Amino acid sequence: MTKLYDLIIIGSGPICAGILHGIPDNLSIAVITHGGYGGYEVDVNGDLTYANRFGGGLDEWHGVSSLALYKKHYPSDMALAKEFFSEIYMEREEICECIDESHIYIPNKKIDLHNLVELIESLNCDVIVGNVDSVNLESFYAEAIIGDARFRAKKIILAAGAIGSMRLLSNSGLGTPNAYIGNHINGYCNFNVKPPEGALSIKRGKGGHAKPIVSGILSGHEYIQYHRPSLFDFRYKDMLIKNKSTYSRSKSEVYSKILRAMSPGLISEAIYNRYGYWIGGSNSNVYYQIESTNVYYYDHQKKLILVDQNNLKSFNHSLKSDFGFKQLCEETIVSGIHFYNSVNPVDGIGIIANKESWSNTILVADSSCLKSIGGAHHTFSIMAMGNLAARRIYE
Amino acid sequence: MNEADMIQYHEWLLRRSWKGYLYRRYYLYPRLWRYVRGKTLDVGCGIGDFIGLTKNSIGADINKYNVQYCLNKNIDAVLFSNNKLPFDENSFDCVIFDNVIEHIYDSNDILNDAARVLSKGGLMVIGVPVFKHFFHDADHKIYHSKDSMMNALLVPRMEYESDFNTPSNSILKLIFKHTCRWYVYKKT
Repeated sequence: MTKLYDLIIIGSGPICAGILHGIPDNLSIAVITHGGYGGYEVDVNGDLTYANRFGGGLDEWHGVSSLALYKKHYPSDMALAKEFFSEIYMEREEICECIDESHIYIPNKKIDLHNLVELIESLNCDVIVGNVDSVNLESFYAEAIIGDARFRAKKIILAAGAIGSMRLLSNSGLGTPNAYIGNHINGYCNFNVKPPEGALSIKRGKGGHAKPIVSGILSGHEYIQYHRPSLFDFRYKDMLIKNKSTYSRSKSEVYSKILRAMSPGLISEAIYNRYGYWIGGSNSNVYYQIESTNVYYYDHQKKLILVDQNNLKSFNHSLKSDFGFKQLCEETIVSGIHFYNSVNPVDGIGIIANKESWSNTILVADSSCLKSIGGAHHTFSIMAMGNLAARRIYE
Repeated sequence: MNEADMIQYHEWLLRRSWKGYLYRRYYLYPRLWRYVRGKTLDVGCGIGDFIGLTKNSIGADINKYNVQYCLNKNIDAVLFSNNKLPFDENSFDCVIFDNVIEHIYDSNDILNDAARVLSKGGLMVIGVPVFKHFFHDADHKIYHSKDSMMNALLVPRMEYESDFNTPSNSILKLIFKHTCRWYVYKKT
């Protein structure tokens, strides 16, 4: 007889951590992970389903999460979203001061739940190591299949990344993949960027939640470009000084950044962030996020979502030659795939961002389930949504 | 487990460190002996470390190279397969699983069969790694949480008695970095 868990989470990254953080400790939970941690290198030529850190290396991340996003999807739960971010930091008061009406500024410092190991131990989760072949949807439960082994749960959450989760659904004959597969690729470029034509006269979205600023065709790739708040922004200088760890590790580092802002690069960056005008300069730090198409494809024989290397190379080449991106790293370009619209959900499968689907047996938790979150940090955003969903499901 | 895996695992066991041997010989096994009574079966006996030092005991393993190694050393061991132990019902007073069930996706069958060969009032002692050390072995498949071991062991007539950690000493923990939690069950 196979044990029936209350919940199985497939994937052991930040989303898993966010979900576990919202789950009461009286449930039987299993986390399925591919294992192989410790020195595992992410292979861009592989199927891109593996992360290389248990817990997603949450202690090294920082960014901005948009409250407008939660307002859109969870209008009544905004307080919970704020609470989540204040809870995951060890120094609550400090992070609370980093929350204003429209944003949560995620500091570059250790997050309380970065240690997924402790979270798993405190919740008494089982951890199953293996690559899930498929998921089955039954009447009263779902099951994850690894080789000959079957693991059953009342609810399964797919948090294996957009590629991994979508591949699982595809292999399981659930959520028929459609023509949107491979739609959008995200790249985060932060080295000596030269903004493209057209970007100079367009102001950023209100309150830092960036809107698409450029779209078009590049080497046959349809793309949308956003930018995200960068390391230093004059609008937030008070917050930078007040909160020594917002984007920085020490108060002296904040003052150092302000002093260094006398450099043309950082001044131009701050002006660009504030007014949307680019006056040039090296040593700038504006983050671009470019979403393109046709880079991933679904191999029906191998049942894998793979990278179209030719398209990727031509796209990268165009980014360098036409856009002026330098020191571009392919690994950072191949960083994501949008789940949104890529799979036709069927009965029993829901998206964790939609409240209506919380009663479903299989849920997909991935930032790309959302149509667009602009300049907000994808992972932090879906982490909070996973947390909200977990609280709501088991309240 | 295929032939190559069996050879690889057997050779891996033979490469044990002297530090590990001393730990098992003078710390771990004396702790386990507190629960050992009467005739003892070590399921997943490996190269026979435990049964070689324990009187009135026999080992069982699915790896023929391990079993042959034990027999060559005059240690009593038998080969088994398909989760069926080649022993009669109620034939043992104690059954030990020393870091075995985390290597198996579905351990219910072997645990049930071990309960079958255990006599009434006999003890089943199961050792699993703690989570911090779970990923140290690439062959580990399932981390069994404390909750899972205490409340969800799907074996009839086995009642949870107690649990303990080895090593429990913090200095030894630092040295060996392989902490196990042991669960003791009694057949009713």
